[in-house]
Amino acid sequence: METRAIILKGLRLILTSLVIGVGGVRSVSAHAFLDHAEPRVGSTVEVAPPAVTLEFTEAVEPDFSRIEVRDAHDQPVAVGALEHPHPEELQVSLPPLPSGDYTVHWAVTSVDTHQTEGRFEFTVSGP
Amino acid sequence: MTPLLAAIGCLDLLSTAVFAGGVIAAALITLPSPRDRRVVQWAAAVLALDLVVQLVVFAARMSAQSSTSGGAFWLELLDTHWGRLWVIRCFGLALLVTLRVGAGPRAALAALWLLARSFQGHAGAHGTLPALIDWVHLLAAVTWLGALLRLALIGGAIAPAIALRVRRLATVSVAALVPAGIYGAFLHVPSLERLAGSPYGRVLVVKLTFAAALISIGAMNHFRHVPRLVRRNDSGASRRLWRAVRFELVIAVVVLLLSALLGVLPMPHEAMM
Repeated sequence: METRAIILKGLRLILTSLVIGVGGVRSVSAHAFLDHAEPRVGSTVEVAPPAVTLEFTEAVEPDFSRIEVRDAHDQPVAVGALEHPHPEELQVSLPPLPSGDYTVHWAVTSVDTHQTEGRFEFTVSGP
Repeated sequence: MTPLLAAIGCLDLLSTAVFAGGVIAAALITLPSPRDRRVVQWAAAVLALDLVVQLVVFAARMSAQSSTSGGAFWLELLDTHWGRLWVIRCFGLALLVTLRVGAGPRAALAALWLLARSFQGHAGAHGTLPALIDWVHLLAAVTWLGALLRLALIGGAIAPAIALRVRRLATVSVAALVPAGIYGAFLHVPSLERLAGSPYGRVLVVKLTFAAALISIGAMNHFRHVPRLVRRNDSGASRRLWRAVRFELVIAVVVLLLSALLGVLPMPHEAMM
């Protein structure tokens, strides 16, 4: 086979492969996923938690990450400063929470620069 | 953003491989011809430009997530894991381009410089061992590509001694590349379900198919073309080897581009399945 034909065939294969790969990723946002949270995702707790702690599947960059907590009326809860106790962990302290439903919104940047975001709910039932 | 990141990643890996491969080939194969030097210089220039673009794109992506602006924002950016390694990569590239030392020390420096790239990507986000194994994989791939490129750029007949040197280096590279690649594949895609059910897994399958083709062509060169060149040392044998190497290079570039694509795709996780 001529060298030129080989190169053209190679280029065609590269383009096809790139289209397959890039096309397949459109619905996926990023790389650091929430591994687990405290309070647990969707849980109901009797006593209001003192903090929200999130652990991710990859190390995250705290300067480019945030955690927000909102109450049942979508009002922001005044959380403390974002802490980074471990490379994969982020934490914010909470004020004493009255009974009710809360939503945690998180947006993080993994150390390999990919961004993810998500949210989950928990409920404080009270004693 | 993903197609842009993929394009930047492809250009990064390709120019890094051609540049570092050329530097390593100068120490392990033969001193470069003026043509080889030009190719390596072009690769360095493309990589320098790509690194600048990477920083600008990173800044654009991060600006919405930051509470700072101006100089403080850029300092914050360069103080991240990725930012510190970006500085090391830029400094290393400048050093490799300007340093006037022998081919051996320069190749050793290039090999060490590749570490920064391994720590910057997926593997680096998963810890030191995955990053080190990724580095072995990258170093072996770059060495193999550099050796092939050196052969492909030979204008006339290929000397049997050079062909034998490339054959030895390619064999050592494959011996390091395959186990490191298998480790990486199992680390990132631990189950068959995730292999078939995620974009990362599907691109990995395409990459492995091309890699298998690449190793097959390499085996043909190892067992057929190079021994024939050593036995006969005529222009026909040299031309056949040269053609096979050019074809091998095209496949190697495809494998590199697919590897770069894997670098921007999310690894399959149970949250995605």
